[in-house]
Amino acid sequence: MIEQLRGLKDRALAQIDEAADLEALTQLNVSILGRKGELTATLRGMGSLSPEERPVVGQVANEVKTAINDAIEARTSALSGAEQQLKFAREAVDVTRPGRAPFTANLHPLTQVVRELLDIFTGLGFDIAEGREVENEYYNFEALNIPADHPARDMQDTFYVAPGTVLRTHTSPVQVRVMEQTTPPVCVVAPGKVYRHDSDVTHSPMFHQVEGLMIDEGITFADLKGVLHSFIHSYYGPQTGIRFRPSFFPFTEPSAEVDIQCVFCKGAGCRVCGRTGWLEILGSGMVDPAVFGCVGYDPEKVQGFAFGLGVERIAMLKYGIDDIRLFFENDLRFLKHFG
Amino acid sequence: MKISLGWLAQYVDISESPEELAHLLTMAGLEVSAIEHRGEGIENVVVARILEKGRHPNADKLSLCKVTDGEAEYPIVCGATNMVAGDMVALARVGAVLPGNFKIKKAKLRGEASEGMMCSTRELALGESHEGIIILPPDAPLGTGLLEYLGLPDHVIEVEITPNRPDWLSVVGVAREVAALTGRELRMPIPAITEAATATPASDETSVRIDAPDLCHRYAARLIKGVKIGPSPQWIQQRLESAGVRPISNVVDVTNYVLMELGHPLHAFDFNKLRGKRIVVRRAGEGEKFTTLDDTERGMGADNLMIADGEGAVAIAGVMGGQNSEVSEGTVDVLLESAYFHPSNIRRTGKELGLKTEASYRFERGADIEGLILSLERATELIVELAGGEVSSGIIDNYPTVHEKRSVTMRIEKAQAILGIEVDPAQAQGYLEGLGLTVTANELGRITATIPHFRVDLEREIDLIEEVARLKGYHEIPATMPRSGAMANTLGEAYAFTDKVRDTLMAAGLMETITLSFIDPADDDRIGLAQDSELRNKIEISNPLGRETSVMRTSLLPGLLRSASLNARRGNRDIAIFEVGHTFHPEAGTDLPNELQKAAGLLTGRRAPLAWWSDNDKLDFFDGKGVLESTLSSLGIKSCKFAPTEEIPWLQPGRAATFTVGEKQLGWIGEILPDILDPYELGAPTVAFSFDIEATREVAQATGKFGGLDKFPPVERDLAFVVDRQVQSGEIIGAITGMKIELVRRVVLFDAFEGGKVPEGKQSLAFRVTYRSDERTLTESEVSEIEAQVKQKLADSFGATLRDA
Ligand SMILES: [Zn+2]
Repeated sequence: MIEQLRGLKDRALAQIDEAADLEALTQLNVSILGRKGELTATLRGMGSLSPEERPVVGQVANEVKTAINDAIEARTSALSGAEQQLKFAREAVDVTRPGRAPFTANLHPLTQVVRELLDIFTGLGFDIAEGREVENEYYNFEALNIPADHPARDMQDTFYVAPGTVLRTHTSPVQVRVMEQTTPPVCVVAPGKVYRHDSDVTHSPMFHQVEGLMIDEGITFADLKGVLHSFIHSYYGPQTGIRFRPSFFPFTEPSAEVDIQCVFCKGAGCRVCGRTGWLEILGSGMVDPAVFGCVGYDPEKVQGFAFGLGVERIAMLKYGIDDIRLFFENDLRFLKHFG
Repeated sequence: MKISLGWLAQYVDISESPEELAHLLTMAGLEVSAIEHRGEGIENVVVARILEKGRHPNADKLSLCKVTDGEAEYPIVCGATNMVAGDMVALARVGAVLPGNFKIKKAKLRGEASEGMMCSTRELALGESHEGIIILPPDAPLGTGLLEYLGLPDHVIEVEITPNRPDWLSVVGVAREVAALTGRELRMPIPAITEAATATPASDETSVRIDAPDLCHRYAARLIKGVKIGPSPQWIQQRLESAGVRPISNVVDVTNYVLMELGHPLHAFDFNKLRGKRIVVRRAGEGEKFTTLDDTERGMGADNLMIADGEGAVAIAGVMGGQNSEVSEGTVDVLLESAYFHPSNIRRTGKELGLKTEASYRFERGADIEGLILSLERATELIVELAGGEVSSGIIDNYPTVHEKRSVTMRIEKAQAILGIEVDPAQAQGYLEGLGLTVTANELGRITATIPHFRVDLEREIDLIEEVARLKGYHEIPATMPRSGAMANTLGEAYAFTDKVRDTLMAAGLMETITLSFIDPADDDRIGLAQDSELRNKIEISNPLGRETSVMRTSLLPGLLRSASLNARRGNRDIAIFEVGHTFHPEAGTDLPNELQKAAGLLTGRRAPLAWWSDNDKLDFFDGKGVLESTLSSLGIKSCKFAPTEEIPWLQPGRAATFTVGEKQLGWIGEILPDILDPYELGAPTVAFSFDIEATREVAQATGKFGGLDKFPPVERDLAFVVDRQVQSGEIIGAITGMKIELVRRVVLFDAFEGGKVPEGKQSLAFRVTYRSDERTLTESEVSEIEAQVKQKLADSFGATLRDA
């Protein structure tokens, strides 16, 4: 009987070893270990054994069963690993193919620059105000201390839509309207479109400005310098050289043009900066008392400053664009560059 | 304005290099935009004489000259015609390298040897004239270097002068600033005039009458008799050229020279052409015609100021002289005018006539009413020096409207409050005195300045504060942060909403574009607007750059079509773009339009990028609608209704909808009609949409409080119906939700098709309905009961027949 069992074991292990796939193994499992299998059939002969022999044979039978079981398990795991590998090989993909993605898009470069500017100014405590683009001459000029027949009108070539009504030439009318509706303190930035009767590679009849205004008791020219220093160092980096030089705007006094060290030549002088080493980026000044008079503020009580920047100029310098018309033509190849 | 530094140095010492001086002036508000070097590259050009001038044997248009520089004789072939034998000329000898790296070599021109070149001013970069070669005065010293003879080399700076500083519009004006900035002495020209003792006093021979003292505050004149008109000497011509003024003849050149030197415009009349030998300053008659120096007849208005003689106008005051009294070759006696005219009147006249001259430019900014006598005397001195003649005794000076000198007080404490620095009273006083102001200070920290007439810009305290800051230097003022608190961010809400519109449209794959707000009136026809359409009513620009940009848009669509068209023409036919901006709608009773903030999008071409995974499907209505719906949803619009429309002329009926929230219409969407697309070279389908951002903001809901996750599981059942093709799925969903069955939570259209087994004229629609209770788990029979009600409702309302799933 023991011989029989050992023979069964050897045969079974050989068959298991030869099994080609999981299917064959399952069949072996049934035909050897199953209820109607060989091992069961062999053990049926146990009844004719003497009580002394039974435990001995029983132990051998168990050993045989365990050995066969282990062999089947080992073989199963070997076979299934191989099969999975085959499956994976069949399902492998070309990982260099592009993924499924819809068309992508981005914001217009001018919108991006406006946002960058507004982010800095709102961080400095400015609120955002907007205004109309077709404006009364009063708000665009007179209230800003630019009377009719004044040569300062030559600084801004104006589109008229009716006598007394213009396309705003700057975002400054927003200042006046905000001051009319607010009591100090006032601290706003006004982004928006403005219009001038001018068209060439550096002038567009429509362009964008961001204007700032801060009014309160005790605001000084030194504060104007502080806020603009803070802006310029945030936008162009803390090492950027800055200079304020006297200028003239009818609605501010004292007025200043603000130059930054040329971003192309770092101040050494190049074609872009006209060999001066400096780039003009904004106009600014202390709000003129005449403007306060127009909005009913008392210049003996409050003081403040205003500044304005041209968004296209900043974008053109930032991205090295030399034709302003590219911004409004909307060639997708141009726009995508800013994605 | 161009300022020769050689000329400038006549009035103030300059020890700085041109670059240092440019920096000094720029930092004082007198921006130097360019520095030009005159006389570079003409080292080897000398004064020479033409000995002979003959015809070139082989070329009609060339002459063959023999020229000497006093050492040798050179044959020279020349194309100019303005010279004769004996003329003194500027000779570039062989070996000279002229501006522009133009090398002078021995050459054979049409068979004749040529050794050198006789030069024009342009060839030497000394002026613009190229009409002929330079003819020097007969007394020019033969063989002298031209540089030495002309007082070169020189540097010319170009300054940008702000409109508040007319006093800078002259060489002396800039010299005065240099003197103030450096503390050096200003040397004003002091004219020396010898009046002819024997001649009749000027006032016996002529007179000036001012009929419009409101517009002409002062009129002074000198009479100079017996002048000889001819070319000016080179030194004057060179200075005029350096300032960009073309030399004409001695008397006219003198008026221009003094204009550039002292900044006051003068006018010289041919005295013998003045009828009645007198001057009358008066307003023009309505409709009066006048022919100016530039040979143009101009129609005058009643408020234009004229200079007339005994019979009629001889000049437009402060703007331009007339042909009838012009100084010309035959002029013998000259009446020289130096006057003050009202700035805004001169400006209006110039604008009305479209005429801007050196004179009007200065008068409209404000001339120096006290300084005009100096200019008159200086010009008189120079005319006698250059053109001879005798000065009649006495100045005619009619000064009906005297300008009192202003006095302005500045409080030191206010200056400190504005600038944010300590201001030292003595220092401030010093700055103002340096500018030519007469200053007194008192112990209360008040500085009172008397303002000279040439400083028209100094009227108020703040003007003096600015001068103190300017002369101190802006770099002396520190940068501090304001103590002022930040404002509550409330104005910015609308802006933030608009920005969110941009972000969502971008996230949906649409590229942001920006187009000009003014469009072509013909765009109305291009998008098929009816003749009586509201949108045709536009704000028109009175002075447009061109017809194509002459009206303010009432819709963003024309701009989007134009941008799309440009890309299509350049070969990119897959386009998904949007724009956010104002549209302008005229309103009755006001010139200010209603400005609406709108967003609009346009999509055409492939649905997905060309890729291994995508097919070639073209996008259609539903791609646009998907973008629009996801945008509206992100903006807080949760229940927007779309309804078919046939009212929008540029959209294809049956593929067009308007959308509303409650009663408020937000916008439209649809496929553009192929006939409209054709001229833009765009293919169908092209989907576009537009909505009003402010209207959308009004109905947008802020994200509410979170109510917790669902506690009981939902049950989902599918319903498939066959209904008429015309039935809109939205109506069916509306009918189901309209039943107000509490347990019906969601209805989704998940399949739709026609053809195949579906009969002609019908469509199959399949919905997934989600049922859920907040109190309990629903039973199958409960759900089935509700489902039956829904089926019945749809059968009744739409004749829907249930389809086997
Ligand atoms: Zn540079």
